[in-house]
Amino acid sequence: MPSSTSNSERRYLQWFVVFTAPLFVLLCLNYFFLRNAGELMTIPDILARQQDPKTFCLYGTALYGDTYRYKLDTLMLRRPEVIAIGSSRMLTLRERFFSQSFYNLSNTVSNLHEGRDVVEGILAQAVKPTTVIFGIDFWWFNGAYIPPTPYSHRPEPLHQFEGYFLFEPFAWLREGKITPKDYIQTIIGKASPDFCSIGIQALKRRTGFAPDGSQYPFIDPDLQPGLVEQPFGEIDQIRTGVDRYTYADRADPRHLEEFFGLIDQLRSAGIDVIVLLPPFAQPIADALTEEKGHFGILEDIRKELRKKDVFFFDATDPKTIGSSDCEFQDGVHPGDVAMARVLLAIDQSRRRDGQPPLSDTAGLQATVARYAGRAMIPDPRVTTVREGDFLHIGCLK
Amino acid sequence: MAFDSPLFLFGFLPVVLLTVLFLQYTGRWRMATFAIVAASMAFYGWWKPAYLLLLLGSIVFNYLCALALIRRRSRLTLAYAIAGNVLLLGYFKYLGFFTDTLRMLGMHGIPHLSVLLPLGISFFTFTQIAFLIDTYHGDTRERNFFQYLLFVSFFPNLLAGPIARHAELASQFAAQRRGRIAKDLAVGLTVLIIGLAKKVLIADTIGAYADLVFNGAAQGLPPLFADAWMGALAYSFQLYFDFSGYSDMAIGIARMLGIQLPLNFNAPYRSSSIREFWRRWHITLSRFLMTYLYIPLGGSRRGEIRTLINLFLTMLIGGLWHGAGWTFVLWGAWHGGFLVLHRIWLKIADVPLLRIVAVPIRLFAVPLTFLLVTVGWVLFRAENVAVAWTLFQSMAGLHGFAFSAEASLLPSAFAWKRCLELLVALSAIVWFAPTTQTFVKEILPDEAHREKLDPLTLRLMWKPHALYALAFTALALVSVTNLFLAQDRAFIYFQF
Repeated sequence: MPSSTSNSERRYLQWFVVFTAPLFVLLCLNYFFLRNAGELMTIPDILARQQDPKTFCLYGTALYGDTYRYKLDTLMLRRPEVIAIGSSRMLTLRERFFSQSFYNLSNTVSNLHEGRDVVEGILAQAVKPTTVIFGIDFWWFNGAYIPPTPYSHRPEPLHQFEGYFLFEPFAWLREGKITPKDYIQTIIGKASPDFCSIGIQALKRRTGFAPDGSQYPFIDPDLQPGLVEQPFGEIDQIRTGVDRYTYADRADPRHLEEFFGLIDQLRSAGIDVIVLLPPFAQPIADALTEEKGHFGILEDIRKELRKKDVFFFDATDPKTIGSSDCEFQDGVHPGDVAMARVLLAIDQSRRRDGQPPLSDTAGLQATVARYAGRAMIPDPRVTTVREGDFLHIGCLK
Repeated sequence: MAFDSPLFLFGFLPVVLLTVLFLQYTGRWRMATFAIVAASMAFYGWWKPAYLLLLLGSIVFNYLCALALIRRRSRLTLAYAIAGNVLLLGYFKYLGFFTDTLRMLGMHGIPHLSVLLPLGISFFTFTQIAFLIDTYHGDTRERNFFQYLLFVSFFPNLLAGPIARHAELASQFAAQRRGRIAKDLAVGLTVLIIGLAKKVLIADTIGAYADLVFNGAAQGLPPLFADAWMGALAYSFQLYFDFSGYSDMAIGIARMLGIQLPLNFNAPYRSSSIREFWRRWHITLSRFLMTYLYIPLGGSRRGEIRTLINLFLTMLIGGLWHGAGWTFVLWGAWHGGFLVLHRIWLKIADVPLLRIVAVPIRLFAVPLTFLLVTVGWVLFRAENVAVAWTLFQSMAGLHGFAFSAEASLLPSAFAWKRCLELLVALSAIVWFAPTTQTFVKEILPDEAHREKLDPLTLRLMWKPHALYALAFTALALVSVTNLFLAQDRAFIYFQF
């Protein structure tokens, strides 16, 4: 009896091995899928590939996203004269708009502590820029939304590779983010022969950071009417005063002090600073104006900026730059054309102050005139897909 | 290194198992034992190598005290040895609590002092106190330092129990398990997977809902009536599956190495009284408290009043053992108080006038016990007494009532319906599903522990067949996938 008992348990363990083996095979396939998609590349490898002047690679990861490290390291390589910093709302400022070398360092700041990390990162560079365009979001100054806390240094991420990465492709397949065809083609290395892509997002959706740090959003040519439930969903938040739109009459003085400290630090290093309030789509700007009794913070920030004698441009209302909703990606993210208009308006103000323009004004004006009413300025290096009325608000594109 | 960490499951454990199995298979039994000790040291030192010295220091101290007790059965030596252990535990675990309490009482000149709590200190200290007392009574003897080192540091139960007695493990460590390696591996692996699934698939899932409510209350957001009860129930189930899962994993891992650990968990929410609850929840701790605290205090031998005081004191100390804070003291008092009430109730329930009340109480004894335990867990989970008080107020409806998702305080984050569905599903498992030891009867220490089973359970019981291998492979895959994709959550009992 003991030997037969032992045999059945031995067989049980053998079955276990047999049943578990397919998982190891699948995990190996996942590994090759991620590796071929560029998801397992280290930041130096990404930079080496993306900053090669012979290529135009988009970097759009679905896994490891230390944007701060990636962008600061790129900055060190590129040594640009003009830098843009801020949140994702600044991401469509592109190098081709400028007459000088430019790098878009934005999407690294979502509060003023992160702003400090970025400013310190810029000041630590061997070659400092001449101009910084500092895009700010008014909710950074809202003490009720972001309570002022003592600054602590940005923690360094511990790992660039986590075990769970190997399981993610299962979830993407289940959720339909990738198709079995994408999966197989990537494994055999035939996913996107026409474009240079690093990361799943870049490979599958052609979205990600360009070599100039700006970001190309996802344009879905198959998007059907009715799939966009609320193109300007933030309006509800503004009406009810939740999340980023938590009501505030005034900017928190501690946040203001921290922000002006950053401006002073940049100026002390001889850097010209332009503060920008990036544009909202018209319905959002209108809702903020209608609810101005609850959003005194906006006017308070403007007043404080004027007092500080800092050059700032307020593009909150898109009418000030002559833009329309069709030039926006959504309610809060302006597209290329809207941002080009912002830059032209900034240059106009600078000229009045006797300062040189940052852009190639005539060229940029021609581009804006040509693509007015579109969110994106077409770039065949990114996609050949033509932009449609993805917000479903009746834009003729 | 937690049992549910990828590093442990896919790095440490396979390496240790392969090494030990190879050595055992080739007949090098002493080397295999040495490998287990080395693995245990690495397991403990992984967290903070310096505290490995503390563990070793404690082991050497207790070993020397035990040798002295074997040589001469001295009450004074035993008292010194126990005091040494209590001092060590007091310094590392209760110093901060003690100084904070003095400051709270107005002694502001006393600085706040706290030391990083070494993992598992409560467990290895209690294990060794039990060993010393057993040695004093002549119930066990261990002169071999290496065997003693293995007994205390054995990694499957080092950090969070079960608290094994020396007599239970010593003979197993010395034995050679020829001919049963495959069986131990099959049984251990199965139980390990059950434990992992309980932790990763159930405890962590329901724990997210408990966190929402308790964290909200800690941030000054008093939950409404229904939210508070759902939070308390969610935590009740989280703790159940977390600790039960941990115990299963410890038992499973030990079994894979050829060691049978004592049972620690036996469907506690099916108890019909608080007394029964403590016979089913953390069984080895209850046994410790009963054998080494309640009975030495006098047990039930010194009259009824003294018995009640002993009961209460035992639970109060048991509460404090779980954590250095007033919430744990109150939690201990809560259980001590109900144990006292239960004992009084047993004495008076036969009075003719009270029989009318006794019948419905007996009828609802199980849900009533569960309710009392759940209310007690609020103290166990709350960050401080103020937060617990806020939750008690909410559970009494003092912060308003809410019976729907629309009226809930946490409408966007608190997935009400999902939480409710989960609670119903988990209730079915807790009250009606077979326990791990019923399902895998091979982990029961002897026949006496076996329950009478209905025919369906008998048919479903684990057998080393291909179909079960397939089912458990699937369960392991789902658990591991979740483990990798979900947020990291430590075992609750690791903090003690």
